[in-house]
Amino acid sequence: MILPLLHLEIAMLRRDRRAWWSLLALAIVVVLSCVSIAVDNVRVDASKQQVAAAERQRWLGQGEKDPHSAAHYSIFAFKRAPALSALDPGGNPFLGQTVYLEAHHQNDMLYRPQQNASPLQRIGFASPAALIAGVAPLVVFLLAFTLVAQERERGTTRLALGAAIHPSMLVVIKMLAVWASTAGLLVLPVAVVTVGQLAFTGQLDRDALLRVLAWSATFAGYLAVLAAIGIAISLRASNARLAMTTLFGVWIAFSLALPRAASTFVDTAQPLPSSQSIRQQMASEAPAFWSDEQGQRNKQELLARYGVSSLEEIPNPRMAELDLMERHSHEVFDRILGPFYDQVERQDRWFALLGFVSPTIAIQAGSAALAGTDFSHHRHFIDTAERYRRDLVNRMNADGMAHRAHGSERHTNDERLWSQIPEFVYAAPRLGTPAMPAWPAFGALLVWLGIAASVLTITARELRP
Amino acid sequence: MSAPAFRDLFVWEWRHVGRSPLLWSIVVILLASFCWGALTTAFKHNEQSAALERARADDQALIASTAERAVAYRAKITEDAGQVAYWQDPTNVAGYSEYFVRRHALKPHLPLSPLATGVSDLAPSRLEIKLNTPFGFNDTYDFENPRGLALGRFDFAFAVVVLLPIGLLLLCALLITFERDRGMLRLVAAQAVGPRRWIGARMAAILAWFVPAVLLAQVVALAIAGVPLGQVAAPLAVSLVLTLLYIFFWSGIALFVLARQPSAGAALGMFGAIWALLIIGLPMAISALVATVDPPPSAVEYVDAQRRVRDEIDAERDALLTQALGARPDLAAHVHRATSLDYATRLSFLVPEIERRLSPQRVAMEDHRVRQERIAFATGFLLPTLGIESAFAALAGTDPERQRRFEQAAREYQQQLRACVYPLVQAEITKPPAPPVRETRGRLNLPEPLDLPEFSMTEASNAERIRNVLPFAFWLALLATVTSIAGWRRADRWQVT
Repeated sequence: MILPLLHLEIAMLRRDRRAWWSLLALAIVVVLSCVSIAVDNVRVDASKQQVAAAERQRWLGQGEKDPHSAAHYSIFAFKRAPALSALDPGGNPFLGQTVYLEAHHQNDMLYRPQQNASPLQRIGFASPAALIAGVAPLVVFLLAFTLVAQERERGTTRLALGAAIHPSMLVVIKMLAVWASTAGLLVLPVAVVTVGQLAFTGQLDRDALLRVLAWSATFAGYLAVLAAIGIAISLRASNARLAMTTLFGVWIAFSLALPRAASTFVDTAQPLPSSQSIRQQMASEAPAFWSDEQGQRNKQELLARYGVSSLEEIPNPRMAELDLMERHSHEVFDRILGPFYDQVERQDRWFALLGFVSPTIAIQAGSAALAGTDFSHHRHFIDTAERYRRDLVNRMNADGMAHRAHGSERHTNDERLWSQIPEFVYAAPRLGTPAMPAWPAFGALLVWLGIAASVLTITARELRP
Repeated sequence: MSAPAFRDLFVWEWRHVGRSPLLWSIVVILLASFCWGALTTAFKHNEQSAALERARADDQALIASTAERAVAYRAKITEDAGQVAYWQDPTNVAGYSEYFVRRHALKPHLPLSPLATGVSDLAPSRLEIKLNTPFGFNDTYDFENPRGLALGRFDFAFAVVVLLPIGLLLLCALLITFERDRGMLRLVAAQAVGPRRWIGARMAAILAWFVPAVLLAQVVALAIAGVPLGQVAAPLAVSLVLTLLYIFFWSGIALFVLARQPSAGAALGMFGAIWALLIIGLPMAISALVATVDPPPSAVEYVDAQRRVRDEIDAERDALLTQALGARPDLAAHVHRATSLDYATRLSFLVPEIERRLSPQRVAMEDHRVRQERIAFATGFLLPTLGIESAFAALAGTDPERQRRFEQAAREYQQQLRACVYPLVQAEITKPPAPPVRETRGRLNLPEPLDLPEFSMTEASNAERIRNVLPFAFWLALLATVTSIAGWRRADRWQVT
């Protein structure tokens, strides 16, 4: 019974060229944006792989030198585009792609793709997630309006209700028709394209598949919320004019004003300290080049640590001092950068919490988390690269400390030591592994689904032939 | 029966529209949006200005501590206080050049900056300048939450560019289609008034309330955000004119759609489509096209090039230094010292060579950036939404062009510093080498730190900024006129059957 009716309602939707063509146009744009981002990711990732391999060769082939100089030479680590970034690049266009892992410094990730973006590039960048979250509500509401308010205006709803169909069945079918059309044309194609891209690039594993499924299901849920809201408003409004005005207003509030307002509110209410003050603090507490006075303090500490009375008794005092300062810098970086990144995640958690105000906010926060493109995933890369850097520098300094060098003596090493450092390989965390600040967004979406279902149920009950 | 005069119709409509709760709801929402956008942008810019002040103070602290050390290291060597290493010694000109010369190039915000965030959330307003950083400064930025950057800020420009047209279109769609949706259009059509005069009078009445309310809201919002209105009278006036023209542009589109007297639903559907096309569809399509035709040079390949060039320079170091010294009449006699120069002195010859070898990539990146700016400027004429955002940023001083000029000035500043310091560093090559054991803690070949110039940037005047946005303002006026005339002509008959 349901399927033929559903088929009929979808056929009715397709007859309204204005609404149906809007949906088709959006679907095409969504697929094109997905393909465009995927192609770009494949190209850039290939380049990153190539340069990362060159970096490895440069590291191994740097020749004979002081191990601490090798720690300065070090490598650039590259972050590949997250597997699902064609669906939702999240903050990635505004995050660095590479980091220089040198001694003494926990460097920022550099070369953000949008760093020098022109105003056109910035407003012209759209992803499937952004389009579905921001524009799909307008199309969904247009479809709901077409299916309900216009029918009611023409009097056909009265006829349908008069026929032997239960009102709630009619409402559910209409909602399903809108939902199935939008989910089928907006979510399903890009999910398929992404799975194809993952298979093509050899990234299709269980986690990636799970993420695609979870992302698709979440967006399907979002569209269901919108479809239910659209149908309920169209049914409850006293006339088509009021229905359209209300739907238009809801779209503006949910999708245009509230997400940006919420984001700006969170960033203003819980501001980040400026990078300038963070870097300044790090440089003053853990300088890469320290003063002679600091050198004197280091000397006293080394004497105490080694339990000797003269630096001559330490095999390699220069390297021991470098190691001392390096390990001190680790503590400083953790103490300063840790809370800074925690604050970024706290902002994201607050933004996700504001998903209870608008389902669009909830989907924006949730989508990036599922796609692995939110800041918590980026931080995982930062932490992994930093651990690698510290291991590399500590290993180099340790080699120096193990060999005697005084005055103009210098200990050097070669590829035998360099090759003991494993290649930098990054594996993104599995779904749910990092502490996802976006969890409240999923709760908010569930609440929105509940509200939408309740409103639709009540509306259906109140419907009389 | 004679037709009512336009003036009479307008006065009647003006009184009627003025009592509409919808009008005042929209005006209040826009006022709130303007204030929120201007205030949050001002808050962000105040934070950035505070960071600039800290950087300035940091520079002064370094200068003071360098001077203090320079005095302290004049002392004789004792058992407890030995010879200071060259990289810790500001009295050693080579050590000074690499480890003590560090200044900030700062780009302050202009008084009208709350008008638009522009590139201020993305591009750095503070660059650390050191002598031996290739091309002036390292790639850098002030970290902002990437989620916020991706979503875009709710700034004043967003409220004007995106929300203002929606408010206006909603108002026009609901107030002008009232009779059509109530089935009263036939009655109106039966009167001795044509559709042009009737729609025109109502549209004029809407604008007569909307325009002053919006312009006043703009002034109020910027004043609340702390903009010193007296200081920025001219650019503020131009921004008001731009807002006015933008309203006329959208009212022309509204007139064009409503000329055929559609229902509110149909009008809103059409407005939604036009809005989405101008705000999302066309920018996306044009941006994608431009990216395909003129892709950006790869940053990843630039990293690779930097590493390769540095390796090459390392491998050729002694030969390059020998060649550099040999080519200089003042240093040619000392070419035998090429292989024993200290690190900082070597850099004074090698960094310019690194820059020379990397310049093709660097120039390509810079050229691409300039091309993209020009394309965005030209596209602003096609997409008034982009054009007005860019014009606001230009008036606010948060535009990409000012940023680029700041970065150029930072690079020139580095060259200026090099011109002061490099000759002193390189002149040491002609002097006898430092004895292995000396009497004083410091080297003292630079008895006092240099009094280096401060960074300065030539700012475009208000008049220049205004001149830059005038072509777009004229174009917008033309578009507004064309859409209005097209709408006027289209409203040639009543659409009643």
